[in-house]
Amino acid sequence: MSKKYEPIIQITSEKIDVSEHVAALTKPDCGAVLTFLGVVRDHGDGHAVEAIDYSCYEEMAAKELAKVARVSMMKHGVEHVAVVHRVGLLNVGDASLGLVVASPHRVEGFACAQMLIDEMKKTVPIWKKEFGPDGTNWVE
Amino acid sequence: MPIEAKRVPQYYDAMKLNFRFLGRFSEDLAGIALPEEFTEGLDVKALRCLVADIVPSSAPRIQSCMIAVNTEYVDNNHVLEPGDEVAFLPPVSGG
Repeated sequence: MSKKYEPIIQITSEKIDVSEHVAALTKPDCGAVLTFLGVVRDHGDGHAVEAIDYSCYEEMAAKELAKVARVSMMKHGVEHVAVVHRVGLLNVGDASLGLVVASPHRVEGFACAQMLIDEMKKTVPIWKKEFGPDGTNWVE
Repeated sequence: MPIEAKRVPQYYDAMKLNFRFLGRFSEDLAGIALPEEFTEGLDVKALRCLVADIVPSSAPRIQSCMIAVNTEYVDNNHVLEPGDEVAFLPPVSGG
């Protein structure tokens, strides 16, 4: 049976909760269910960070994220992926990215997750503007 | 039977474009005075130069940023069409 590579993609302004995706992607043939949260930290490149404003090109971000996810899934033969990216003003400790990858074995799951995150940082039109005691900074 | 002239685009024909400035460009290029019309056949490289001339302070970023037309990334040789949505995308930083 041919594999299907249809990731779940969400761009949202709501708080990220991946539990629903974990439940949906936990399949009988999957021995590995990985979850990853990208979280706002309290420092950037040598400066303190209090919050980050995430903005995106709405009409394009989900589409590009889906492309990156599909390529990563195909490359590693992983059929079950959910990616959620939050936009808006996030405080330190808030999750900006939620990722769930379910695969028969852990090796391909970790590899898929790593590739997906690395690639999304190259092409998915989402931007960060940091706010801190020293002012603001666009992250590039 | 009247002969209907077929309209062939000429080099001086004008077209309208729609612009999106994202990320830091949403601040740096907000409110810049762009022409209302552009010459048909204009490509992305020429458009970059045109916008960079209008905002010299952002010229290096404009010359090196990614460009999307109708939500698809394009290269400098891409020829623009009337009504295209042209997005200027500074380096992305999601995640």
